[in-house]
Amino acid sequence: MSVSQILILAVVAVLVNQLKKGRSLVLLAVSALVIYWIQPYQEPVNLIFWFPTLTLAITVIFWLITSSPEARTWKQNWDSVVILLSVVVLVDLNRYFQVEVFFITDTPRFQLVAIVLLGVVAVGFLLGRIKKFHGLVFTLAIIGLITLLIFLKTPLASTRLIESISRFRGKESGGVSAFAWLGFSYISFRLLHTIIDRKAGRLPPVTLGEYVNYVIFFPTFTAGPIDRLERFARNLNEPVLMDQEGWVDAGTRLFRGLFKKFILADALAWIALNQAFVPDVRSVSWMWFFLYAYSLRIYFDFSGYTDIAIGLGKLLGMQLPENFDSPYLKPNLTQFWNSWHMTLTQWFRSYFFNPLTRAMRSSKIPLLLPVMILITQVATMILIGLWHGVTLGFFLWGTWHGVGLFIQNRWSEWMRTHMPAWGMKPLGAHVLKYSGIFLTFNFVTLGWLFFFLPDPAMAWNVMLKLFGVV
Amino acid sequence: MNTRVRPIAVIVKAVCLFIVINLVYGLMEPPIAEISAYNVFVPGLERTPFGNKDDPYTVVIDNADAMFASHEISAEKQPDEIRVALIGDSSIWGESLSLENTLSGKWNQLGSQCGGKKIKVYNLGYPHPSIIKDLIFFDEVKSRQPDVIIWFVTLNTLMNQYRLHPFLAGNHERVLKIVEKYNISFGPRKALSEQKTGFYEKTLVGQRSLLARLIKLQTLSLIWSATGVDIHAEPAITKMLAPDVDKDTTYRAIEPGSDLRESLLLDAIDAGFDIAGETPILLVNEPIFIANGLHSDVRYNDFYPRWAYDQYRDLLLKQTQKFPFNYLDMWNTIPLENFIDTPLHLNAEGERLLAERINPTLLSMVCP
Repeated sequence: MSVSQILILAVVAVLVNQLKKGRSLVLLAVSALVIYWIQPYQEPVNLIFWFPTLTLAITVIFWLITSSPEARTWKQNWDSVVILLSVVVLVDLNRYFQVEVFFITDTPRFQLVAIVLLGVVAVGFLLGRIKKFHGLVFTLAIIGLITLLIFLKTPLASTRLIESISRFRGKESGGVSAFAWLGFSYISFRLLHTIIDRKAGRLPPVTLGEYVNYVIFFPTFTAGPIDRLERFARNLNEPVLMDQEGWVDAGTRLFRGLFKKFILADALAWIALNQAFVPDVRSVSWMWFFLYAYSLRIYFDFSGYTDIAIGLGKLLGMQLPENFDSPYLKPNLTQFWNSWHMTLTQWFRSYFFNPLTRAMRSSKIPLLLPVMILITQVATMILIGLWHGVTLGFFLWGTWHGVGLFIQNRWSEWMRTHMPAWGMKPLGAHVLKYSGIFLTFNFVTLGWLFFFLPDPAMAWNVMLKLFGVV
Repeated sequence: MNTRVRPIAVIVKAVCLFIVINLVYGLMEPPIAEISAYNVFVPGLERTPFGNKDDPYTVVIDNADAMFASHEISAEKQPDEIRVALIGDSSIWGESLSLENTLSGKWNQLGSQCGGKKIKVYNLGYPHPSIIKDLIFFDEVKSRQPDVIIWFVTLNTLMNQYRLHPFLAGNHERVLKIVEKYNISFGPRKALSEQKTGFYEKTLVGQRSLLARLIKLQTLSLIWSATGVDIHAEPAITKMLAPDVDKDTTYRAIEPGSDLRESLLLDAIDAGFDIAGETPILLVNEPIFIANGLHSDVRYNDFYPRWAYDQYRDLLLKQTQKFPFNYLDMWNTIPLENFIDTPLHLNAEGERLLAERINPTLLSMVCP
């Protein structure tokens, strides 16, 4: 999102918060419009319309699968259905309105959109009549969603599909490298959370409006944080009452985010190490300097976006979960991951790490504790890596952190058993703390090489260069 | 103590402060473009900053003050240095060439000396063929103590223009001043006058784009210092230009046989000599690619039909009669195989040949 888009949305948020009635419905309409507004340009151009539309369609279908029959009544949900259909139709009619500042003007033909919407309504009608879904449906929905996510996150797969679509339409692919389905990484994790919790019988009943608002809530749509549905729905229905301090707090958070993202991160981006100038850097010290610049840049960029999301949320009376807590000042890797993209790590902890650990503990073949820790941590971190994209670089980045977490875990255990008094003394505690911060920051920073350099061989080469090996 | 923050008061104060800072900045007009990290903390750039917006090494900046402040020619002149400034278009700037392969790079590799002083050649080319742009460069370079200015021109440089190039728009006040002072019949003169800078344009908000580019330029000094690279290197062009040319005989919609005098800004050459003052100038007609294939009887190359280029050379020669010892016509001095993507751009070997061929004249000027 650009600064002007964020500022416009901040004003919209303040206005929505003033509403005494229909606040969540207006918010639903705004969020639905925003996901069209901020969808980036890509070829084929129709995808700019179809991706947000698919987001809404998938979300509605997932609501039908996950919601309880008592929350699915027409009386409770008709207004949300009307709003969502109206938004899709309104956006599509931009081919007649020609409001270019809002959206593309060559939207698909209305007849086609109407057929698709009728199809979604029909599927919705049929699903709505089913009182209880079989467990297999949930499993299939989870598999389907993960498959789609893997497909979208695999550059080669999406590139091939774009080329096929373009060939089918008799056009050039326009050099677009992959699908840009804005926000899908986050959407999929919210949907997965609801369906896993539904399967486990933990999901509270929510209306369509609450559910769609949760999935496409505009402040968190592109970069999180990943909230939990029950907390979000509660907050949506009981917004935080804003007093003067609340407004100041919201404004401060928003502007802090803008400063971090658009001043610090964007300026650091100019000198952050990147593949274009890596081969030309002549000295090791400069290489470290530019790598640190990258490390700071990615922090300010991401935490800036989080601040913006939290600030916008506060303006709407929504208290979103924190996502960062000074991660670069943490004395070990475990604490780093407890304070970096916290909602994502919490998600993985809840839905992958803990179940896997439980499964291994109750396994008939007993495993040594260190082996179990190694497997669970490396597997979790590899999945977190692959969530960013199915590439060798992200796989290595995940492995780097997984192995790092394991080593740190074993080191902490060794220190605890062999030198328990060391950390108790003031000097020892200080040495441990500051050397820990130094090591953790540098370990994380070195790991970014696999994250941002597209070629793992180049990343490895740079790493060797940083230590004067080549 | 009451520590409650009143949001309205914060907003009002912020708005007031914002207005005051903008007013003060607009009234003071600080020479912000002349402040540079280059030549102070890091070495100056070896050619003017230029590139596309995605280039990791450079930033598009059209402000002449900022361009020169970041250039190595703004560094203090060494006592054992003979300072030679090359002014010209993209072929002098060295498009598609790394720094060591540009004309100035090759020239400096010759290691010429005179009376114990080293001849240091500075690249002040810029990828826009315009004699008006050259005059702005003259204006800038004169305060940097050049011993000789070598001025490269070609027919495209002297042609009057009808659209205002971003560089000229970015320096419109200076362009207008020069155009009016020397009464040059510059095509987009009206457009220049319309570019007037109001008070808003002088405020921080009005200058936000320039300020952002200036900050980026200064920040990129770190990358320049660390890499010694000033622009993302394109893959070297090794393919020769095709020997065949189009049979079209018009030059920029001008029919053959027309008098080019009206279309050329020949008076601007005199203005250049005037601006340079005491500094000797060597005017050089740039080498061009001379095709020898199909239709080469009517055109020298894709840029120039023969009739237009021949007429231009005659007119240029006449114009420079006043300065007979300061003119070199190098139009056919570089072999065909040394031209790359356009009929004016040379490869590294072409630049070396050109430097070698002009060097004796330069030495005769600085070592009489």
